[in-house]
Formats: sequence, structure tokens, C-alpha cells
Amino acid sequence: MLFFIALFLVSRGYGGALQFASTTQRVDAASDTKFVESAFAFKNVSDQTVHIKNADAGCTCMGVGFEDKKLTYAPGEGGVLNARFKVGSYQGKVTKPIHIWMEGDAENRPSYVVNLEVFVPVMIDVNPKSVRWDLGDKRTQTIVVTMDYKKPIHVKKVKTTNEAFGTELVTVEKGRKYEIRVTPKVVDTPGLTVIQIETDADVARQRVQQAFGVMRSPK
Amino acid sequence: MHTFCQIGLVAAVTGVGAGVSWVLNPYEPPGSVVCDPTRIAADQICAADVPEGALWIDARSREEWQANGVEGSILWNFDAGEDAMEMEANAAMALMDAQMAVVYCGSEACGTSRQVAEKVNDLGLGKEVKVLFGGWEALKDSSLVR
Repeated sequence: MLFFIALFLVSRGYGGALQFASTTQRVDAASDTKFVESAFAFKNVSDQTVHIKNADAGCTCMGVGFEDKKLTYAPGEGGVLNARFKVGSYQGKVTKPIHIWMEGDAENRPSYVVNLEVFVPVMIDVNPKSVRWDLGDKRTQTIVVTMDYKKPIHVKKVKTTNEAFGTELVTVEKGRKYEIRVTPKVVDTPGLTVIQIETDADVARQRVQQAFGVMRSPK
Repeated sequence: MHTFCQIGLVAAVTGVGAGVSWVLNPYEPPGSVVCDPTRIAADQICAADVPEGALWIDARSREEWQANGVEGSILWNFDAGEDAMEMEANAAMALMDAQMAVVYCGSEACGTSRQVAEKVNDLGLGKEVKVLFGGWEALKDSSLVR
């Protein structure tokens, strides 16, 4: 009976032939970084030669590949999975899983998952991202813009896409903190405005920020 | 009799093994996505449970969205060549009239849809947002895709 149970377990592949030095790699990116690269070292700790079918991050933002394009590993042999992440407009903490299929794995059942964690600094914080009113409400609401960067970032201009909302820019601390006071001018019609905040940040993709104002119908 | 007992024992052990294997790895036809609402994460939704009036958000590439995105969906991804502000503003405007938002990317393995869902939540517009279990793979045979 024990023989059959053991045979069953082996046939299910419960073995974990590949052992990764770390299944999570953490990388700090600079604000203007375009690409982040990392590597996952592994070793075949089984007593059989293993064949890797594929590795994929499931998004166009990440390219992955095995060093020397090697997919077959003898017992005790080590290898490296390389990953190259395109930062794009990602900000904050980004976790990207990379799935690895062995020969024989079903399409929806990769044998391994490793993770690349990338930290992209958020230079400009806009809080809250949206201010909302119900019809009839004409209060002024405030959006706070806070800079977190090695040098000052100034708000140069604030504009709205909808004339039903007015804005006033207040400097709390030049280069560090600003307030945008938003007041609806029309309170009997639902609508949305995009509040565009232009700064002099030297990182192009973070130079323009936006927030939203919404006059909504009652539910 | 002894032989029959042995045969019966082998059959019983095999049956137990097959049963355990079926519970742990239920059969799924190749290429299909089976969604059990009781076993998915709290931030996910099965394709069959998405209500009328939901805003579909495609987190794949622009080429994929244009080729076979959900009819009426909007695009929101983090690709370097895209205008992030424009996609965010489009989403905010589309959400005004939507009951909720459902984000999908290429497959269950893709993590971009969760990150886009976070961005939708960060808009602070008070709309519920879910990630589609199975991604586009769960939709590809439906009438929803172009």
C-alpha cells in the first residue's frame, strides 16, 4: 500500500525540483528610471534532469529569459532567470509575478512563481484625488499637493476642464506643499471636472498631476 | 481469493489516490477558465457575475484592446508609450455613469489588472472595482469581446 501511495505522490510531481535562492527580488528604482533588471538564481536539487518549458510575467511590461537560453538542468546544476521590467507610469510599490512552467505543466498550472518587487518613488502626492459634492452643495473643498523629492517642486498652474468648477491655488510652503481650493459654480447639474496641476518637476512623467471634482446626482 | 483481495486492494488505493487528485486538481478542459465564486479572492469577480452597467477596463496593451477588447471597454495600462493622465481622466469620466468597474488583463497570471484596480480605487470616486478572475481568457469565447 505504501508503494502505491508513494507512486501516486511522485506521479503528481510533488517534489519541487528547482530551488530558488530567493523567490522575491526587491529593487528600488529612481524617479526617472526607465528599466529595472533583476535575476533569480536557482538550482536543480532533485536527482533527475529537469526541463523548463517557459517563463512569463503575463504583461508586456516585463521581459524574462533564462541565462544562455538554457532550459534543461542536470541534477545539481544551477541557472539564472533574468527579468527586465519597463517602469512606464508605475509609481509606488509594484509587485510583478513571473510564472515558470516545466515540461508537462498544464497551461493554467505553472510549477513556480517568483516575484519582482519594484519601488518607484512618488514625488508628488495629491490628496484627496477626488472631491465630491451632492447636488445643491456649494462648499469649498481642498486638495493638498505635497512634494517628496530631493529638491523643491513648484506648482506652476492649475486649470480645470469644466467651467462649472472654480479653483484657487494657495502656497502653504513654496516648493513643498500647496492647497487647491475647489468650489462648484453650478450646483444643480451633475458633472465632472479634471483638475490639471502643472509643476516644474524634472521627471517628465510626473510633471503633470491631476485630480477630479464631481457634482453627483443623489442615489 | 487471495488474488481477488490483492486486486481489490490495488483498486481501492488507486481510487483513493484518484479521488484526492480530483479534489486537489479538478479536471478543467484545456483553455477553459472555471470560476467558483466561493473560492476566488475578495477583490475578484467571475465573468458570469458581472452586472449590466459595469465599466470594463482593459489593462492589456493597446494593440490587444483594439483587436479583441470587450465592447464598450476603456483602456488603462502602465505602458511607457501611453498617456497615463489621459487614461486616468477617461476612466474617471466613464465611471460617472457606471455601476461598478471590472478590470481584466491577459490571464489569471497577469498582475496588471490588480494594479489598475488600485488606481481606480485611488480615484476616490466611490465606485466598487473588481478584478476579473481568469482575465481575458475567461471572456474570449463570450459575446462580450469584439
